[in-house]
Amino acid sequence: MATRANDLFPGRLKLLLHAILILISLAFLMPILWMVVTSLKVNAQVFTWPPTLLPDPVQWENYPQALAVSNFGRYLVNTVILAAVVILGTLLSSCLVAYGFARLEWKGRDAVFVLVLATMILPSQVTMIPLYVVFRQLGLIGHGYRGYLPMILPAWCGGAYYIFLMRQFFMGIPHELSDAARIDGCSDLGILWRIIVPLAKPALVAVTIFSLVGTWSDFLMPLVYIRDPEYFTISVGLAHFQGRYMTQWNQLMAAATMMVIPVLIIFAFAQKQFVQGISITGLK
Amino acid sequence: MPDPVVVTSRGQRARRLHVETLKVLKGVSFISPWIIGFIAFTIYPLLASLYYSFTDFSLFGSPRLIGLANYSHLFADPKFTKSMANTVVFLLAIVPASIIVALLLAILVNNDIRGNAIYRTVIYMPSVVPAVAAAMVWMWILNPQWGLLNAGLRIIGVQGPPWLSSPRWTKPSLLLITLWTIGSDMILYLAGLQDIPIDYYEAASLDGASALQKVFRITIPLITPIMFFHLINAFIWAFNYFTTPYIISGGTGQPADSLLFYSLYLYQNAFSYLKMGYASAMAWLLFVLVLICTVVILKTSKGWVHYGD
Repeated sequence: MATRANDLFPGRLKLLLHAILILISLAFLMPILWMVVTSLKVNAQVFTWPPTLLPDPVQWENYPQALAVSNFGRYLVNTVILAAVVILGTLLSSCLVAYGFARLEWKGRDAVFVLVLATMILPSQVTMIPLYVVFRQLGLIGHGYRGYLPMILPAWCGGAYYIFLMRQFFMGIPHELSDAARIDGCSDLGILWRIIVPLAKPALVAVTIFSLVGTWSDFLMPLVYIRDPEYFTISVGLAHFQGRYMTQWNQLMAAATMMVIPVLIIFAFAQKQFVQGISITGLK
Repeated sequence: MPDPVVVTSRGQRARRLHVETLKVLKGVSFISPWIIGFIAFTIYPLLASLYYSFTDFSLFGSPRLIGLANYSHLFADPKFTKSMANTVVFLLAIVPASIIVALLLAILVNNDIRGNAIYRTVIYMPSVVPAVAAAMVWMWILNPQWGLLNAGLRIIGVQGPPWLSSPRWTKPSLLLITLWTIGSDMILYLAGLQDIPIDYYEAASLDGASALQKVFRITIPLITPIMFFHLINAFIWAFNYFTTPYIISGGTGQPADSLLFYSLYLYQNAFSYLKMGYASAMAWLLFVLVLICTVVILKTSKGWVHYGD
């Protein structure tokens, strides 16, 4: 894509712009670098004045130690399990629902879609208490992996943001293909599965990534619904660890790094999807 | 002579009605997962929390109706007032700050220079860092004694403030932490900037407009639809603000309740004190507040949001 630049910094001023942007970039990068640097320091080096910029010696043992005392491996597995089920449900339901909004014409469709969008402004704190009460009565709070159902069930019903994203993409797929298939006697489910879904791979990837990163980062819902430390997700697990090892900054930063690195790797590979996801929702 | 197209027999009309009904049925069955979710996870809890808000409900035993007592207690509760004030103050700071910084960064990285993809990536990256990890990293950076920021300040001869341990400095700290994750908003503005036709700037250049004039006369008016979207998002975000103050204060809202934000106090009432009725009253008030803010922004938007043709 060509850059449509509104060149505010012509010619010689470009150098100034580079200088400004390099400084800004360093400021944004510094906390992440400092996290990694601290995670590799020996305890004596963590508390020194002036702070040492590079760890010497490099203490990799902080990582296995953090893993051992924080039960981090278990949290990791838990989160992956939860995310997998959430993603599967989100993909299935958002495809179906988006198809109903983007590719079928029916009376009242647009009014219902406005309702879908309206639910996006609803704070989760408003619905949290009654849902907690119901799930508790159903015995789903703090009972092993069953306790994940309060987070899984809503995902299997779609989710306004993902439906919106998918609908925007579905609307852009040419109608000729689905019309031809319909003439050949293909049902709507068939069209969705054989024509729309294969063409909508970028949207599916985007929804998968957002849903994964969302589950990975979510704090409030697992904090409310998961009571048994064995079943903590990584966010709640890290917070729990932090509460017990307040001043072990090197190990805390090692644990934080382990939580951040997978997200950054996904980000590195899927930057385009992140950017598209943001611009689709902002502009359309 | 009547137009033959208009005349339809009763049979045809019935058939068309039938076809319409079938279409609606098909549409509704495709969106049925959402309908189920809407009823079960939106409508039911909304109504239930309205009901709970009129009751005394401790989770053990059944809710006992007490009328408007929860709501009247709210306004006599200094902690509630504090949490509301904290949220509003933070909102009033973060909304303009995030709009200005995000737009400024977007304008900078929208220039045609080598490596601007790298700048964009680096600035955007922190906004994908999970909030719990980000809060911990910043607690360490803002550590008054051993933190990186005060070390840096000391090098240039400034005695850094105690940041997160002083009630006066907790909100500036949160502002800093939030602005660190401004990258996703920058991308939003960047997408908007790239939709502005380059001819506008060329025409302005021919007329001898300065860079600043271009920003204020072309960029900002044409970017108002994005600002509008950003504004609504920022309000909702601020009322939902929870994870960072929770982690930093260990769930307490300390020091001196300066981190006791609306959502945090709501959570404490519900899950620490098990005052489900009281917390539900807070939840409904929150819902109404968000609704009012959204409607006000929507209504006023006609005056300041420019939609191109």
